[in-house]
Amino acid sequence: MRFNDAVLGAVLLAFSITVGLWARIFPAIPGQEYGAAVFPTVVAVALGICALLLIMSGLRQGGGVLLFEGWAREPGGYLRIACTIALVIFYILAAKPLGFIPTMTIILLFTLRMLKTGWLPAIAIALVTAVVLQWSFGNLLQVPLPWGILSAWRF
Amino acid sequence: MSAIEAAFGLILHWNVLVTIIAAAIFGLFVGAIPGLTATMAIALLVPVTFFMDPVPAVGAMVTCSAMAIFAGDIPGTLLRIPGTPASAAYADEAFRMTQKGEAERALGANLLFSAIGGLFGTIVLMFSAPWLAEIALKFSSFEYFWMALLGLTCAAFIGASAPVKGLVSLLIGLFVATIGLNNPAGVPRFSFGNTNLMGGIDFISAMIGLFAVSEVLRTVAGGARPAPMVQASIGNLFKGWGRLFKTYWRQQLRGNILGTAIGVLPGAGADIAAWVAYAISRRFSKTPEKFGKGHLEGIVESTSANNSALAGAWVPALVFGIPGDSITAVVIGVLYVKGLNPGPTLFLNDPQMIYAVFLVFILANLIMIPFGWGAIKLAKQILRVPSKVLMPVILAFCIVGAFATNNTVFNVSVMLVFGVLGFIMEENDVPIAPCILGIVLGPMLEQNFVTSMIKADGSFLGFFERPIAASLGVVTLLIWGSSFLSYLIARKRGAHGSDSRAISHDATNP
Amino acid sequence: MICRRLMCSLAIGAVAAVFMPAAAALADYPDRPITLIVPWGAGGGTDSTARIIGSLLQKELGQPVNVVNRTGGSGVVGHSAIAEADPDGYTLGIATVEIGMMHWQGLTELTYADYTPLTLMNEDPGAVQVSADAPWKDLPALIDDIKANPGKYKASGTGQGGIWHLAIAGLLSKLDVDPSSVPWVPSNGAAPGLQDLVAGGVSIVPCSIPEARSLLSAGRVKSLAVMSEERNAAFPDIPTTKEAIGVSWTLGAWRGIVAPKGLPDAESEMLIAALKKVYDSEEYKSFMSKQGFGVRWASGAEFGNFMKASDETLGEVMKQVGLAK
Repeated sequence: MRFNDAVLGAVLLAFSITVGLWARIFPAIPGQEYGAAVFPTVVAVALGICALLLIMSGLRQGGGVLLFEGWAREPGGYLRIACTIALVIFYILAAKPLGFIPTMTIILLFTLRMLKTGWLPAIAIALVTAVVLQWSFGNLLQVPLPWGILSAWRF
Repeated sequence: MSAIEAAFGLILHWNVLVTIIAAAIFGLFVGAIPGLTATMAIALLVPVTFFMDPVPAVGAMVTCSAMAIFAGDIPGTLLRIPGTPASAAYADEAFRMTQKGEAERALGANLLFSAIGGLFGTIVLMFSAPWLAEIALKFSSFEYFWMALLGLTCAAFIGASAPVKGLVSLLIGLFVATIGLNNPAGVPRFSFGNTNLMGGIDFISAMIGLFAVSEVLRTVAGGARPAPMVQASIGNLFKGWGRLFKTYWRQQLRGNILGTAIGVLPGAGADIAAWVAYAISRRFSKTPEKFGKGHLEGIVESTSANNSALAGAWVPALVFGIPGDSITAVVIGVLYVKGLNPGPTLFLNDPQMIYAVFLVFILANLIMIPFGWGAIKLAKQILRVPSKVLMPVILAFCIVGAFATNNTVFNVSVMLVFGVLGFIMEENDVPIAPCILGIVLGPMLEQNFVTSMIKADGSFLGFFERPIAASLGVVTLLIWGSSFLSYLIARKRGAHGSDSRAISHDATNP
Repeated sequence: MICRRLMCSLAIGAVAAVFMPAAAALADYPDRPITLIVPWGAGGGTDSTARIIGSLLQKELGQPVNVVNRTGGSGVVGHSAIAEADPDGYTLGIATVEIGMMHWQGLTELTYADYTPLTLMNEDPGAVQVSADAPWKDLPALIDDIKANPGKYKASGTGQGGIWHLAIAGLLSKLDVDPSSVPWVPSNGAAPGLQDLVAGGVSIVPCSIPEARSLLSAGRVKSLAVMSEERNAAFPDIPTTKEAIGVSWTLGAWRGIVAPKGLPDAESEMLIAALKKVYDSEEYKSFMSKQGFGVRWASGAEFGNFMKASDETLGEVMKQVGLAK
């Protein structure tokens, strides 16, 4: 999924203008000339220049706005990417109420099946990975992974 | 002489050796998991060391940190998930070697040059610590500003195949670094009033996203078809070492010296050392065109540099109690508890103790070789796992690793955002490595620029008034000037023909 | 039939067995690991203090105490995390002096009132450090020079509006000197500030004695006065501000254990009793004294009043310096 350089440049230009304008409202350090605005402004200006260079080279190259190669030619690719992103969002939302083991088992099972792993190995891998992660991170490394609905069975 | 004998007596106890070995295994384990840092490994050891004698306590920490930093190279090479920002400089290069079936060769070299780098740094520490610490104490914000700028300049060299896109990546990283409250003025920026964003973007979660999650997305998009990654087993890892050492002794020595020099400066550390070393290696290589395609040369120089920087960080820590990095900060606390108060007097009052600490350093770097060897052989099995199974499991580790960096799901969100960003960037040939450097160096650059301006009452001349600052400044400006000049010359010469991309490629690789 | 009834009772038994510990949990606190949140990074003074308290508390309570770092935003993130946790006694935190500062700056709504105060464990007063080869032999000489040359001498040691910034600004305004005559150079903590002091970048670092002790022992910096009522036991030669210049100015960084607001009294009393044993233990005392950290005790409401007083003092200084919103 390759964008023409001119498209990338335009997006970056818009972004750098936003950052630059936003930086205007940052206050200075009391009694000093240089404060919170300096650094973001420098970054915005430099990014703006790079964006203009990209736009120029993109226009010179010509060609389509978007180039599809490899995976991007088949619709399944987008679906799988969207699913993966959705699963991580699911973790962010569900991990605390549901607990680490159930949430992670669901995510693993879904991705494993999506990549066409057989049902039986998929279930086994998902469960074992989730339980081992909970045990090793939770107990050995003191990472407070949530227990959620399994609170009564914590180990 | 008797002090050295006494030191050997302190070390050669079964309980000291057992502690060191246990710490080594723990360090390898923690370091190899992305998201878990060497600092975290050390912090977990702190309560354990309360109940130990001084020598095993310090031994455990030294060994654990050396192992964890080396182990960070393992996932970097095998899966392109650098364990630490110090390995991010060459993670891509090492992963390309894995794709060519040379994972063992890359990791073997990593192990060898990491160990040698550590030993080199230790020797420097033993013989010139007090003297080097004096120089390190001459560094003020003016000098650090130039150091940071020099580091960023090197990143521009690394992304040299398309300089504009490399620069874009770097600037995105610098922008990300401005988010939050951690800036000299102490005001929240780009945080939308959100408490988590006020805390800033954690670079480890960002790194997991940019490198690992983007890779997962790419593999998933293609349906995780089995890629041919047959690994050539070189069996005995130690076999090719003599030849490696002969071929790359220049790179190794240069990396060692540079790494120790940068490591000695408090706050600069292994990250900058690795990037600068990689850039220098490319600049002075006879075959710069091989860089970025799975070439060992840059890896050797970089890995030599980051491990010697680790030992270098102990110089100001032991001599003046000024922590060189977060690892030494923890250890300084433990030294105090154990009655080994850092300071020049430590070298005079307790010579057998300080020699014992040095011996532990040497021991740690020596046992790194057999233990690292075992870890490599074990970790290599990961590559046999088909990617339709491996990718989901990597995703699980990424989520847990990102969560563990600050124990909050907010960092999982950060990881996801950067995963998508990294995916889009790589699809469009924007390199991701400079972005990480931007996030790491951004705060250092800004902090030192603003504080320097306050000190100099707003005068730019302050950056050239002190001798070390002036020389660093001139070097940086010369590098910029010469790059720009050669770009202009190449542009003029090539104006009649070929497209602009090829020209800019030549310009930075003269 | 019998078979089915047997199965049935077995099933009930199994379910009961599984849920029993959950029901019993209310009776004997604590029955699972406790989390201790640290708003600062691994490696700092607060982190190591939390870790020693954690490991000693673990012995007292018989349950693991997991120390968890929640860093960022000058302590805002971690302090919020403590306040937002469930007040069930399974999440505690180590609050630091910054809780009385950040709300004045408008960074957060959080104040000391959002916590159940348990125990104050430590306090380190600030001190006025200058380079060993600096021309001033005592504090009055430094103050006179500052009055004569406002803006010439810079100070560093924490971020903008951090505790040591307030320490020097408060001292100056107490002496009727304009606080802005010593511009503040923000730094990421005392160590980089001290490094800059020795490198000649700044002239004054008003951090605590333990933070400067290795450079003090090495003879690279000297301390002109300590901002407390009493002298530091490890460095008895350093006078207090009252002795040095006749004005009593005390300000220090403190650390204490707190729980989220609304912790039941039973849990609170139990934790205070356990923390008292930790505080009195030989291990804690020797750890703190070897680190050079001061110890100070207050518990329950007394600690609450301490935080209130600290909050008011800091607010006053911040208004004078123009840092409060």
